[in-house]
Amino acid sequence: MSKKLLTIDDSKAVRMIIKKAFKDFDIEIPEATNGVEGLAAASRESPDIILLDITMPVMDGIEMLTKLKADASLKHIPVIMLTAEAGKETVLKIAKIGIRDYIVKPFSEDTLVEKVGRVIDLRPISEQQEKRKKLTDPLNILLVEDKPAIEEQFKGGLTHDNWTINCVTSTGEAIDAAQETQQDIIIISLSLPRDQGIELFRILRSNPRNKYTPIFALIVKTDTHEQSRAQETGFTNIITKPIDFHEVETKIANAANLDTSEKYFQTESDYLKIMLPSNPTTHSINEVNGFLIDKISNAVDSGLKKVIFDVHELEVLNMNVIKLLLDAMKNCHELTLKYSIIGNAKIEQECKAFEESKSWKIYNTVEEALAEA
Amino acid sequence: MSKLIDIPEEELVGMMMSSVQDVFSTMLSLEVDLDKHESSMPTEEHVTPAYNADSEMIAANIGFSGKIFGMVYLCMDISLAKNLTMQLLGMDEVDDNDHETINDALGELANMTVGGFKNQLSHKGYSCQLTIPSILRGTSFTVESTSQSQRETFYFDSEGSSFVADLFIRKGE
Repeated sequence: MSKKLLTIDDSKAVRMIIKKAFKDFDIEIPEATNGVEGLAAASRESPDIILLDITMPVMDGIEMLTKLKADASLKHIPVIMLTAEAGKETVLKIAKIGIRDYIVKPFSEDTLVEKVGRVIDLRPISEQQEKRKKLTDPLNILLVEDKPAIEEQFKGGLTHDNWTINCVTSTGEAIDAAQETQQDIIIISLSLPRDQGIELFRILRSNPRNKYTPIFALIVKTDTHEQSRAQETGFTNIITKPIDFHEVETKIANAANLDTSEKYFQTESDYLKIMLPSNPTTHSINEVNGFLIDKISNAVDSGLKKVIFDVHELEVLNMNVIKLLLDAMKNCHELTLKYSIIGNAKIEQECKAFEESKSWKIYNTVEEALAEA
Repeated sequence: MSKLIDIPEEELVGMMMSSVQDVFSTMLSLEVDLDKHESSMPTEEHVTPAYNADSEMIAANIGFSGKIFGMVYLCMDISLAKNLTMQLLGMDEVDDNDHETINDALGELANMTVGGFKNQLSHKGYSCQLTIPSILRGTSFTVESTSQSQRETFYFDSEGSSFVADLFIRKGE
């Protein structure tokens, strides 16, 4: 459920600036233009936090704050003053009534977000998006690494064209980059001097903008002590050097909650193709299994006539693969959807070695499989 | 020349400068320089208009009252007011006729500027409260000080555009 921030200010401009400051966060922002409206809105909206101006017509911020704190049902709502009024006497008077913070205008949007983020849990909008990003969608990856060779490896090793790697070499640049652009993934090398990698992680995490951004530590494979330290610090995951980019892509996809079904499922004009990689790992079998029911149901919904299991890249047939295919066939049966398998001669031969698969008919091409009655 | 308030002129100039610069750099990401400063005393019967009366102008004014009284007019031409409004609110365009938005944005810039100035007065022992901003528009208007007020006029330049902050100030009773 979205958080709710009630802004009470007679200036429409300030209310617009506040909405602009929080546009990247999952937060509702109801408005009021004076203390009377503010009290009514606080009762009606039950906000998680109030931003309150002082100098307003009808009822000013000090009177409204006094009435709010005297109301048993509203006094628990944290209030941050946002005002041009910073005279010592006024600040002391307000502090006595009870507030969580005091922001003096002019204010930067970053300061506002940071101070509100200290009181309520701000989640970026992307965290709440129901529609998951696909593997082929653009992804911003920030790499913090001072060794050019590693940067080159990342740029050459990741195969997804739409994943943009922005490499910076210092903590200062990393903080600026994370502030300027919402990053999908941040990778920090823990070989940066003077323990800067760990310090950078803490700084980034303390900013509401990066509170939920997956942050990976990049560590030498044999340095188990540093890996333990990274886990204790709270890094989302660890990438070890030398780097296995297939593994890195899988970790990034998981951490960014990407829809990876495109790797295995392809919808053509009148059939659904399910493709298995050459050496399916337990992880990839589980991934396919996770999508199976939805994809086959969607195929029926969309009026597709057939499912084709494409195992022609498969190098070795084993019981995990057979079980996966049996599950898929069962789903097709239940929905009265036809299916065929396309593969190679080696796989056709290996099918005969298992009781469960010895009767399977393996076609060489999609055209042959589609032509089958 | 005897002044009505006992804050040295250079301090008053510094206070207004820092208030304007703080608002422009924080809220608008704009640099501001002081082109000229003029000081006039209450003995003068008429006050020269600080504004170019030939084109349409907008003035946001806001006062403060307490141990010290004053009024500040932040005055500029409409095209600068439009640009500042767009910059402040992150808008690509604002209609000339959208007076509400432009007035409100200018009122808030004045509120923040005078708020900063007034807070510095408070820290010097002149505690006072702000009034609610109001807006004047027109092609030919002047502001004249009453005989009890000291007038300080600040001519600013922000990246090629000029505007004026006109301060009228006197001690409280």
